[in-house]
Amino acid sequence: MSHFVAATHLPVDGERLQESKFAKWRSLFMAAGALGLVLSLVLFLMGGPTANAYAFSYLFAFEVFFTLTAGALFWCLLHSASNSAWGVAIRRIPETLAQSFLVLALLGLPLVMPFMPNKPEWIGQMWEWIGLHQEIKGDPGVAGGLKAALAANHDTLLLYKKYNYLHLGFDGLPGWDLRYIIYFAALGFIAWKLLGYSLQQDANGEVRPTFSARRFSCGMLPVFAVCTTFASIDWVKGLNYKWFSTMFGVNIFAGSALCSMAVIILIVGTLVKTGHLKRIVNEEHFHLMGKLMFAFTVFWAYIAFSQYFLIWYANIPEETQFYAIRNTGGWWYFSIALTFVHFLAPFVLLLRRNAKRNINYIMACAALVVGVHIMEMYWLILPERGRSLYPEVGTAPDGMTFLRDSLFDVLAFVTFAAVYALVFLRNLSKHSIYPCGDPRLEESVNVAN
Amino acid sequence: MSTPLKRVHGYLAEFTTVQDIFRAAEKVRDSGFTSWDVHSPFPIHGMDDAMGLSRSILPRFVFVGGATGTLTAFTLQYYTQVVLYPTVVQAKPANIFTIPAFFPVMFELTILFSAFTALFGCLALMKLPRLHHPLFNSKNFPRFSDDRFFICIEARDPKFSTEKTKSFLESLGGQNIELVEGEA
Repeated sequence: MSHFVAATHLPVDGERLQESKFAKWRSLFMAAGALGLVLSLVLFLMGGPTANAYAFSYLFAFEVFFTLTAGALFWCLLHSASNSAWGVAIRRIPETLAQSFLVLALLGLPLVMPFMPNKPEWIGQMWEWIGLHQEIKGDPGVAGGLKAALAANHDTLLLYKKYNYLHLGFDGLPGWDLRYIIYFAALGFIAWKLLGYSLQQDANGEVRPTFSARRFSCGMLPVFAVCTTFASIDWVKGLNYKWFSTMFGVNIFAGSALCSMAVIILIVGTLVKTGHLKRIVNEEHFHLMGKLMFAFTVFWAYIAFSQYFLIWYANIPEETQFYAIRNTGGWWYFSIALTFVHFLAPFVLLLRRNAKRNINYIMACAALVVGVHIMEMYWLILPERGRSLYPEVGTAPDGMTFLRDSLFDVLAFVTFAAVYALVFLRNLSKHSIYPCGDPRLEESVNVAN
Repeated sequence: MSTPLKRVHGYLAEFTTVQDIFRAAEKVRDSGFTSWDVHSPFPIHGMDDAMGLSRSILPRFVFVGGATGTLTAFTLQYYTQVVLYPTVVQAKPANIFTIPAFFPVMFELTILFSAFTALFGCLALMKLPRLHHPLFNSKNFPRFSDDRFFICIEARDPKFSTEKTKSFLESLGGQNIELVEGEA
């Protein structure tokens, strides 16, 4: 057992982020973020095929960081709801990550353009049902309203069947736009409230905020589940309105919690290596976080395989189309690689106990997990760009287009990463980097497993 | 009728609190005893380190057990479904690319074999089941499952000595120290 650290030996007002150590990073993020935002704006304003192609890249980056933030919120909720003590020492990191819903809501605006009666072309290209909707709505020859028009056409029959979800109130009260706002408002509110309880405790050191957070978390877990499930249906599954899978929401959630835990490990590891959290975090915490990362690696594989398995076995065209394009051409190698690097590699690497207790090793594994999560989001979203934008050449665009699109992907990702990191650093420097007032801090600091 | 032969099993010392037994365990460890054990009604966090126990070999057994399960399931299915009697289901190929259909059974057998290895390996390492243990001859010992903590230093330990070990346990704060005997 390592040396016992009594709560009375820890500073009362916690520990601040040593901002000077990240000054270089901060200016790098600021430069990259500003440049990226300007370039993104230019690309969207250019309109036409450029904006259409860039919108997919932008959605990909948006979804990577949305899942990361949602996963962080999940860990906060789970920690409070399960009345855990072990994670108090690292809880401020997911709490701070979860504050990023606001910046994501703003960054995501070009994808949604809420309350615009006529969406820009790239939105209609990306979510084809919106394009069809606007096309039919704008056609004066349509008799009997939108619903009848959708039902009359063979191509849009599936859209007609999903009318109640997708189009409901689209003309009067825009349901799709409204949902975007509801997700961010609900998730942002939960994150804000949880951090609020925690900060309140920093100041007064009382037990009551723990109980309040616990009660609040138990109530909010269903809200979280509903919001993240429907958000993934709206933004990712909605890319192909003809496809359906009842496991899609939980599939995204599994990757989201996994990636988020990996990012938490990376951040805590970086803080420890830069001389923070000296007597607060030790290898026991990395072991515990590593166990959760391992568990979610298996959970992700279980869910992703179950979805594939049912569709593969049943062999119904409406369902298999999703995997058909991901089994074609270069995507086939990508899909097979995903099986190995998203499941097998982390599974084998994280199996040993000592692996999870070595900070350098576990950080390398966490970096791998973040990488494969980005790969998975790429795999989920970007095959749809080929199908939507370059149907005449199948799913594979020509070399130059592919190069341009890949540069777009990198640009969108770097933009989001830089802005997100900047916001995170800013949020983290606002308060102590661990919950210094939590009565269970002592228990967490001396945790053994 | 002959009197059964007795053999000294070891010294048993009783402790009343977790703190006491924890410190005593650390001291027994530091004195270099190897054949000794701690008995408590519930698991004590950090006791493994306090006793100086090394990692169990069980995880390695379980890994081998699990891998055996995976391979058993794969071989069983591949041999019967592809080699011996190729079965075409839903126009799926009868070759290695049928592997998704094998995954559920591979998964289940991995779990099953791992669980069996863990259970039976654990029992084997603890030399269980057994019908009797010399410690059960002690009148105090049953309280190990209620509200007392015990340290037993066994006679087969090379550092064991009838007098010194007793006074050593007394110096640690052990109470009701008794010499436990078992049948030879």
